[in-house]
Amino acid sequence: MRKAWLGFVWMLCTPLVWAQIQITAQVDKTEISLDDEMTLSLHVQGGTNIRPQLPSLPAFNVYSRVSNSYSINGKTSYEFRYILVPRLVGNATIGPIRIDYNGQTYQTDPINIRIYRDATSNSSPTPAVVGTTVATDSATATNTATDIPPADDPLSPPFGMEHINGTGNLTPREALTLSTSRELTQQAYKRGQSEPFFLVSAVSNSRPYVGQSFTLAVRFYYAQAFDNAPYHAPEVSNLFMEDAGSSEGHQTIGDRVFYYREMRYQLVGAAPGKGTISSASIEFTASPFNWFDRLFGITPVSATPRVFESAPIYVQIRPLPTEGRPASFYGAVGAGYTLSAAADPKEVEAGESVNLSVTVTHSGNLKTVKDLNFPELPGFKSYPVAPASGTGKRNYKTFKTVLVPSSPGVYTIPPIEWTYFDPTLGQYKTLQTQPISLQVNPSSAANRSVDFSTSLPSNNGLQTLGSDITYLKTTPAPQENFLARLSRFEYINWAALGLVGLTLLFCLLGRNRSASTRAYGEAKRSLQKATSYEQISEALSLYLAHKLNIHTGSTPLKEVVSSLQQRGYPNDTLRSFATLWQQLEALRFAPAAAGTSVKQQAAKAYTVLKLLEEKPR
Amino acid sequence: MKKYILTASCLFFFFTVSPCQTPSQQAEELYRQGRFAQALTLYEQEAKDYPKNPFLYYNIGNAYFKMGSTGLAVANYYRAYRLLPRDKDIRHNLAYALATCGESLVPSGVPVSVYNAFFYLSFQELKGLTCGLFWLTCLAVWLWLLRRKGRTTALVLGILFALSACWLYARYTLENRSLAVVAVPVAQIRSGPGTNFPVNASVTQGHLLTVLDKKDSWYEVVVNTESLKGWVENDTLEKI
Repeated sequence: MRKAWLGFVWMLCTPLVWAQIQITAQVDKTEISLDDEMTLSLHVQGGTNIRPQLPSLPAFNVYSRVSNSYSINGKTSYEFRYILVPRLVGNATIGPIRIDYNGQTYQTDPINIRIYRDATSNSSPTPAVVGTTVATDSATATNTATDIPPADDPLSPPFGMEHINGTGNLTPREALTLSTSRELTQQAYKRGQSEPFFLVSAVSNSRPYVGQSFTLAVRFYYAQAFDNAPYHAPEVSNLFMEDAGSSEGHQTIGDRVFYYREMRYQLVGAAPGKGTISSASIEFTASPFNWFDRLFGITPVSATPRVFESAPIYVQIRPLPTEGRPASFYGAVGAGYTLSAAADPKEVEAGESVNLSVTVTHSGNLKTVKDLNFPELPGFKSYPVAPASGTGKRNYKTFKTVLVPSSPGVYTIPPIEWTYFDPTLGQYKTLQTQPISLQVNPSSAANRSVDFSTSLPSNNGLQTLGSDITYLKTTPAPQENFLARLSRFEYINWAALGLVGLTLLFCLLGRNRSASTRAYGEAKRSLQKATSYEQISEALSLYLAHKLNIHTGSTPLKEVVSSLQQRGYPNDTLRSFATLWQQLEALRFAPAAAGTSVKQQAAKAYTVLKLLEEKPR
Repeated sequence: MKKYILTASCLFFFFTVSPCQTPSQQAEELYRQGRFAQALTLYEQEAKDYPKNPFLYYNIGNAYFKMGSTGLAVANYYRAYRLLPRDKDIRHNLAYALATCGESLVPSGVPVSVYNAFFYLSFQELKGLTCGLFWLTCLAVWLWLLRRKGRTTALVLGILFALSACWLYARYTLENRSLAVVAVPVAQIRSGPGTNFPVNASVTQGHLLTVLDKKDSWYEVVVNTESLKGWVENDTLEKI
């Protein structure tokens, strides 16, 4: 019995448990600068037909909302994301986000945000913050009127209008001007009195200048559910058109609430004259969606296909005034342009390249802006580079050129002018970049193959303005010089080589004869330099060996004299030689017998040498 | 009417190109008037008679350069440079023409002073110097052998001769390679000697190539700056 009672209680509580939801809010950063944006995400688990209500956010502009839903194990979750752009510096609080569901109010914790003036003063990391879920018993939910309808609204368009549903992130440039919004609202008010579906369109400027961008907005209003609704964008002539996002909202007309989808386009006048925007159209099938259809989710049988079109719009495109148009005007029309210049690097060597870039930013269209003509910079060779463009919080277009300085020094890139036409004032406005200082050091490269044609005037007043090949040679060519003429006499090489060869051969053959010839001279010089008896004896021995081929090494004196006698020397000569030889041997081997000095003995030897040199009979 | 036209033509010819002028003077006059093609014709005719005149090749190069044929200008400047490498004008114009084609006269990594010293003498002058040193060396050796005198002189001359011979050999290997320059705006380098072979690369005029081989009307070449090898039609090149 007790188990049955508990089971009954559990069965009663189960729907209550399933009826509970959990909500979580978080931001991607808690510190932000004025020029930045942040994302507020709200996660809801459970429930159906969730309608979160944002608190008042005086410190932020809410520009976008994206919603997603997904189901896991039969439990549905929702995610709502909001793009917040700060407006005021200081501490701001995102108050509790409230959801009223099944008579209960759920809300998140407040989130504190620190807003700085610029990004440089915000150096600390910015962790994400998550708000906790709080459920209250209060059942006094108030549905605050908002331009952003809930995602799970029963009147939301079906899958056939996905391109309308995908609102995406709206940047400030995509926000519609107040006047256009008012005009759309007025048109809707007139038609909403009698029609449950209609299309209205309006442009932000019906008399734009050439190149001036303006916005076309097309709104599809519906007060009933519908099915299968393909949308056809308008076509334009003499205009450039670009998709600029979409949004959704609702408007009360009389006692009926209309929801709408708004498609925006950025238009730019191409040429002076008439610009045409054709009708936008939407085909859909209206359905009453009774309780039976809603229960089974089927296409109602009673649906009827219909087509609605917006009215065509004609704009008068005005020409830009030619009077007072400066040379630095490149076709930009609008207001709020910014101009900046940068050089990288700011210190180079002569001959190296410097990237000079000039960036124009604007919230509107920059595609039709022509390329900037960089001014001639004395001392630099300029090589233009294709510009780069992109989108972000603001569109930008960067014009680039590569500068190559030719000589060292400190250069200043003068302010570069860029002009736009302000359609509000009806006159041209010129922006200027800040001057940039460049330090150019002498080139370390010893050889520079490229000759740069421009340079600054040097100290002596010389300024090189260009380079070319040197002029013709008008004088006769120089005659062949001595060295070139020598090369003609190649045959002398062989002669010289032969001469050296022959001489060498001659020298080898006559070496012995030469020694005989030189024997007397060498012996004479030896005697003159002799400082001992041994040297005198040696000089005589060498003479006999070279001249007469008589070797006296161990030969007895008698045999030496006999050899001289055989060569025909007279007896007096033989006697003198024998006497001298004996005296020298006595002086060498018995010094005590020495009676004459070395010099006297050398003189005697020289006398004998002269006798031997005389031709024998 | 015809008479007037004829008279005017004669007067124009008389005042523009005086018949008493030498061909070089006439060519210069035409060059000054911007009639580079006519000046080129005269210079080329004269170069046939004086093939060793560097100034004629220099002037031919100038005419080609002014006509926009940078490749042929480079070829003729190179001919002039080989004959008279010390001339600053020839060197300047050759370097200038090469620079406009993305080439460099002085190879990268070689100091300019070293390069200029190496090419200070023409090949003929260097050959004459080497011959002269050889003769002097032989003479000194001869004297030393006979008289046993001047040994140091012979040694010094022998060393100088050896250095000169090495220099000559290095120059010979450089001069003897078959150098060519691209004479058309773009030459296609194919993988083989025929149009049926695919194009591997293209090279613009003024670039220097080394010719390795020849087959029919095709040259096998190496692009000096890229070490790229292939075959090029011979009428797209001008051999130096």
